[in-house]
Amino acid sequence: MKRLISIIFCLWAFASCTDIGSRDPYADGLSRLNIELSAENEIESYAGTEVKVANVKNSAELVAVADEDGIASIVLTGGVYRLSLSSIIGGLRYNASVDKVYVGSGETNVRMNLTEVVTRDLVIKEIYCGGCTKRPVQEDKYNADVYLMVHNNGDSVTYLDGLCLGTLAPYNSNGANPWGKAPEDYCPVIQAVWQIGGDGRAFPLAPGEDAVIVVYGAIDHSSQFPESVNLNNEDYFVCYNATYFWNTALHPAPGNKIKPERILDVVIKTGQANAYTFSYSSPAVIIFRAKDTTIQEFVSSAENVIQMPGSAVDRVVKVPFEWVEDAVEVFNGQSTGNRKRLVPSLDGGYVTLSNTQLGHSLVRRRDEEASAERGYEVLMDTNNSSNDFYESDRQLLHK
Amino acid sequence: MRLRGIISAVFSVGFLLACSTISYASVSCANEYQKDKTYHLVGVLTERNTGEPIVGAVVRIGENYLWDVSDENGRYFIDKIYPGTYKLEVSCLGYAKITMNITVDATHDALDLTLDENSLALEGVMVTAEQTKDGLNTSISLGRNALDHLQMSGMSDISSLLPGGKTVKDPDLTKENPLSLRSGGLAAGNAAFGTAVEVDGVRLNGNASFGGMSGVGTRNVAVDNIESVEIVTGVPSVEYGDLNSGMLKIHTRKGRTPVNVVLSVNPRTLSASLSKGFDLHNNRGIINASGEYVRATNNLASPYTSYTRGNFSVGYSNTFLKALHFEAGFTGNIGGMNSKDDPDAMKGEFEKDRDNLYRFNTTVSWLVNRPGITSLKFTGSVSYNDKKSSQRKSIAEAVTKPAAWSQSEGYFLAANLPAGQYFQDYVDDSKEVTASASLKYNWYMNTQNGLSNNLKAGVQWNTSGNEGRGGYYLDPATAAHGYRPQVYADYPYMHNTSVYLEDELKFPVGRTKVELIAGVRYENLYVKGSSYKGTNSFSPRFNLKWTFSDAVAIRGGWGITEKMPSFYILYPKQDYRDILSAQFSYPGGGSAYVFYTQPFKMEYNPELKWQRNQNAEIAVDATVWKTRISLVGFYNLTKNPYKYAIRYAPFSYNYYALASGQTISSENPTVMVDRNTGAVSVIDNGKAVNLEKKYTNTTFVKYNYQSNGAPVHRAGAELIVDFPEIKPIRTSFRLDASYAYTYYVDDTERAYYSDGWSHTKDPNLSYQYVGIYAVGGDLKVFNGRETHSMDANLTAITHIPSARLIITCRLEMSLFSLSRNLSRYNGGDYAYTVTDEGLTPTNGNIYDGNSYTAIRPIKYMDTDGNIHPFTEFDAANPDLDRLIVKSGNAYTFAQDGYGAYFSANLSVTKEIGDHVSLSFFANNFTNSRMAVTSKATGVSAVLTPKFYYGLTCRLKF
Repeated sequence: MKRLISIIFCLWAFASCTDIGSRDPYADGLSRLNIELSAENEIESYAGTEVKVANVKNSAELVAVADEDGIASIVLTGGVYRLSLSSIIGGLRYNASVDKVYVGSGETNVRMNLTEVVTRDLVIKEIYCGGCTKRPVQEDKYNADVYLMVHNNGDSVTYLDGLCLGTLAPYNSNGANPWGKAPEDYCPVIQAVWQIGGDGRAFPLAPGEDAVIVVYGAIDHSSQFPESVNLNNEDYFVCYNATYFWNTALHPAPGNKIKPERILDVVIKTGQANAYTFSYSSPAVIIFRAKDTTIQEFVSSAENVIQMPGSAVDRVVKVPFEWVEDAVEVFNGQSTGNRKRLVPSLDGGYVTLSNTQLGHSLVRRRDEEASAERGYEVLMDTNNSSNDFYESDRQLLHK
Repeated sequence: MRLRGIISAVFSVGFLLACSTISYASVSCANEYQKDKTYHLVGVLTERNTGEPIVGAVVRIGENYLWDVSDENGRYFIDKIYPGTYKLEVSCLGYAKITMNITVDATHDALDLTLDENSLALEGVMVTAEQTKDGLNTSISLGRNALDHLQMSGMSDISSLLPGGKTVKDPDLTKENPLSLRSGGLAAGNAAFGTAVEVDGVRLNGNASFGGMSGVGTRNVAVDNIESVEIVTGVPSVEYGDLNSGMLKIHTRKGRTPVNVVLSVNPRTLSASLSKGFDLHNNRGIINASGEYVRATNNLASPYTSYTRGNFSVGYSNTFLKALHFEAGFTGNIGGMNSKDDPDAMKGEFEKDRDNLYRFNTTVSWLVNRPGITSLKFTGSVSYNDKKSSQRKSIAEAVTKPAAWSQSEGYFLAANLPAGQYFQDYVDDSKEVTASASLKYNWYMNTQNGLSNNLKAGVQWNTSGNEGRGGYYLDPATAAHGYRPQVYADYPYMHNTSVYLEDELKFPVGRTKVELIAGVRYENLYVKGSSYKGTNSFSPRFNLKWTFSDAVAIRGGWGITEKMPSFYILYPKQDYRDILSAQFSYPGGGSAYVFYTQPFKMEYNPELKWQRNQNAEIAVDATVWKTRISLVGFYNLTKNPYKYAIRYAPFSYNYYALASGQTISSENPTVMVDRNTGAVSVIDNGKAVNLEKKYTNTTFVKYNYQSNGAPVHRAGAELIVDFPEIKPIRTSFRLDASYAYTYYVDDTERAYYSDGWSHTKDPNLSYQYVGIYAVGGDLKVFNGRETHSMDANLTAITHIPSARLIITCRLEMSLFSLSRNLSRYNGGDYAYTVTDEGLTPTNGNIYDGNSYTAIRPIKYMDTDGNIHPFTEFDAANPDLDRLIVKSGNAYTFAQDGYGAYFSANLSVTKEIGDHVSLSFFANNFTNSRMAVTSKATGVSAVLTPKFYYGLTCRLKF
């Protein structure tokens, strides 16, 4: 017994004398990530440009700061990261993002291509897609009340006539992307393209004004379910087409206040569903207008409507980037498998909807300074939803 | 086809008559000189240890030729036996069976025999499936010892005991898992539907079910009251009809038994059973009674979804006047599925599916034993299966929703479902009734020179019907949109009558022995008012066995079997399409909807053929160095598998809506709809408002009709090798393996219309073409499939009689499984390779599996109903090119499959004294979760069963 105690004592003494302060005990688990920034146009200095480095698994976010030559270096634990950048460099705003950067042992080098951001007057102000509950009527989810709101951020009247609406494939941010990543030269609009009618001057939107586009259920949902909203309003636009989307659970007859001329047209339907598919958890939404042609002419050309890889029958419309007025990437807060569907020039970031059925809504922040300066409501627009949007615990239309 | 059937029938009848004539001539001649020379067999049966007489034991000679049942004193007496050598078999519930050869050349007045009580203390206890000895076709049987050791909770678990069979991955009674024999893992050709199941001669079938062709459910069969099971995979006797790919025969306990109590538990199932065979003494017969209660849950964390089996049975058997054996039984089951919401959800929803069964059966066997007639057997049964299911849904809507219920064609104003919260109670009332009666004639003759003949003939009748009310809502005002009643009881019963003739001839050839069975079955199906043709058919079947010595025999068989249609295929459901043709809302949250209702015309296909199988097999049974080997090769061809085919026809409707500026101001407007034009007028506060006609849309309506698919080929080999016991370790080994190959290509026409697509030119209108493809079933770029798989099991069986202990350890091996999608049409490939992005052909080989592929319609239909061939020009037409279907990936036709994976099961049964027995099993006890990778996709999967265990305790007193 004495012998055993002596051995244990010696081992303890030896361990006590070991110098562990001379090296970082966690060093073996850390790796260096080098990010090289580059842009098509000449940039004199990248110094101070911040790159957000987010761990997709635990959402931990770090910032890497670039040097003059555009090299941002950071030491990280191993994992999968998403890089995003939205900065003003030399007076111009740039966005960039890279998905699924695997950081393992040793150094990892990544290149980020910066694209110049071009903002437009018409922006998406709110996306309410997650639904709420039927309380107190019933303990169940309710998601037949989806809408989005657009806003004129410019200083002149804009017309909504001819404005198109669509969502990108895949429907959900954590769905398998048939292209592997966002296609680099078009937006793949899935299921259908909706369009506001009018003769070009029918639906004006003054600076600072909003317009609501009801996706599901232009009725008064709040009459039965207080957590929901009243979408039966004479000024609201409605996605409704009984020929293509005859599912009355999600597309009931528009309420008595909805004007027939404010019902959107289906330009083309390329999917199979009997209800328009708008992701509850994570849509990638775009509003756009055709340029130098009409959307009808555009979709009549076979090369602009292609079969979606991975699907035997579903097709997508290839909407050019330059047609896009605004785009918002929504991530599913319940998933670690989110992937970007929008290229950085359209949306350099994403806004996360923490969960569905909470009555939460995704709302664009107000630019207080610009609003005060211009005398009407101006919203943040950096083409980066991470900066521009927040998750509100109530819909803007909630009363 | 019909001519071929007649030819085959004529051939088989002719062959049969020839066999019978030759054999009877031989047997008659042989018997002529020994006319009146008959002997009898007398003896007493006693229990070895106690010396007490055994009552109710069945003594048979010559494979059921003559029999007797031992009386109160254990005495048996068989009279009028022609001289010859016979197999004598003595069996009694609870005792080990005795089988011996006996030469009858004089009267045996004291053939006293002792029987051993069945227990693990005996040598030679079998706990694995055995190839039925003396059988001409392939059939394996399991006795009570094997069933106890397996510890099944449902009959579907039995598939694991077939050669190469695998442990059921998730033993779970909350799902019906129909048995499918020799299917090779391929459901095509309705493999499970073609597998027959019998309990005590009563056929369980789902013929009166409107719910699909998924096969016979067996989870309502009590497993603790089974005495033995036989699985016939070879060519069955012509006595059996209404099947395709094999049958499972279940025999319940009959005879005097002590009280048996069985308690079983495993993570998902709890069961308890009680059974007893009462001897009424003084030759008044035996009553067997049993009860079993089983409760199974799927998810341990949520016990709110469960299946319950409450099974009870009472049977009576007795022999009167030494020649008339009578059996009658009544079996019932009360139980079913019960799925209800977690109470925390507070929705109050549930789903209950009854599985209540009441079955009565009787058998009377009359041992006539006169020249020209040996025995007659009558069987009759009635079965009533109450499968009423109830579903409660909690609905809450912000506004009223429409419900179209019209059963006529035209435009109709839809009913309004309630707004706010309400419960919707839906009931599907299916009460399947089957009844059957049969009479079997048997004439057996034997000679001393080894020649014997057994002529069997019979007539059978069975009927199936459904007395259920069909689907309905408790509150009709809450019936869902699109609901229409379908009263099952309105459909006529399906009657099937059949006659069969079979002859079994055994004769020596030198020192070898040849056994031949040839028979033909004639069937007629009658449905009142039916316009089906070809309801008469002949099914010839042959089996031959040549025994060269005690060590080697070869056998083979060929035959046709036919599966009757079920009501699902016989009576296609009248379907409706409700097209929204107008709608508007008015103040107060109300809405009005008008639907154009188009009943899908229910078309009978008078050309529908009954699904038929050609079964063929060849086998070798050998014993080499005390090692028993059985190798079987088989080929099954399923012709005319039942399926639904689809046609489309164009039709137009008018769409109405409020015009710009129009509104409805009344909270209670009166809506009038012109049934023929769809025009909608609204009386709004006394003022007429006419909705505006927006457009006339032409779309297509679908017609379902019964049809037959393309043939399905199955071939394979099955091997069972039983090595002799290694005495020092009291262990024997069994190797069983199976190889299966399946192939089908269904290039019959399949019309497909995408309801969803928009018109290529006119906004708001539907797509203007229907594609017609050579794909048979679902619209995919492939129309067939080919699979190969090989599985093997190595079982070590350690039996220590002195310890009354038996331990088996089974290594399950899936050696490989390969599959490939096929695309064939007109002698070539139907699909073709295309570019990754578009539909441009690339002239590659689709089976390289590295390119996207596409198929074109072979024809298309326009809005006038005209059908055109789909040409190269059409493929380049942007209006039509969307009918081209592209594969979802580049590996659709790549060779897919998995490599080898293994797992091991352990089972232990131990008897403690004469009254207690314990069994324990652990499936995949090493928790082998090795991942295997798909050859086509590279995606890994774990295919071994999950670690699973259970314990059974049996008490006998």
